[in-house]
Amino acid sequence: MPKPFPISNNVRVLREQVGLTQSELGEAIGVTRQTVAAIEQRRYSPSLETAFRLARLFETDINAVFYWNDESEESA
Amino acid sequence: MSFQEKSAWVMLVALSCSVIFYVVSLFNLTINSGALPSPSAPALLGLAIVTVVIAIAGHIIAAVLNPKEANAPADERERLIVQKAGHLSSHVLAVGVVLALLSFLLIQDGQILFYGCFASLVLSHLAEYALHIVFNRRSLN
Repeated sequence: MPKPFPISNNVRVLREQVGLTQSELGEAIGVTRQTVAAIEQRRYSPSLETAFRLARLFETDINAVFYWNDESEESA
Repeated sequence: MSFQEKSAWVMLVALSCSVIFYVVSLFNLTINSGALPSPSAPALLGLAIVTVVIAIAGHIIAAVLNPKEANAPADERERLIVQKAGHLSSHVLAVGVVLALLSFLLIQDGQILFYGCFASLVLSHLAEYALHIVFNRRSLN
């Protein structure tokens, strides 16, 4: 089974706070709904550009959206 | 399911159907004549036509069901999936071609060389479509 990416995120929480669906969020940042779902489930680490687009859309710092998950690194 | 994954399923089914049809025909001809028949252009043309017809029909149905997704350009994750699947499936082609060339060096049979290279090409495409599906559903790690 593939290990999850060591970078965790709060995309789902922040998306629900602003009341967007995965499709709406994907459209806003230029990716598909499936990519948003993959980011939320830690199956995909987005590019730096998409990460910044997410932070700008949520009007927050990029560190509030993405953070390094030490547990993933230790278990790897 | 993304349009990319639907497209991969369509191509996987189209290529599998036409290859099964071709292999069964080839097998019957081999049984009847007692030897592997020479590669024939009409048979290969038939294989290509069957593949293209199924692929076009499948893509039209997929596009009609969700035209917005069908017209959207591939995003960064989809482009990465294409790159990674293409890279991995290229190994199937390379290994198959090398084995076919080695077989030619050993037994000097041009037909086996042709069928070996052709099988490698088909298998690498099937692997590529299968990997598109796998990477769409699982992590790209």
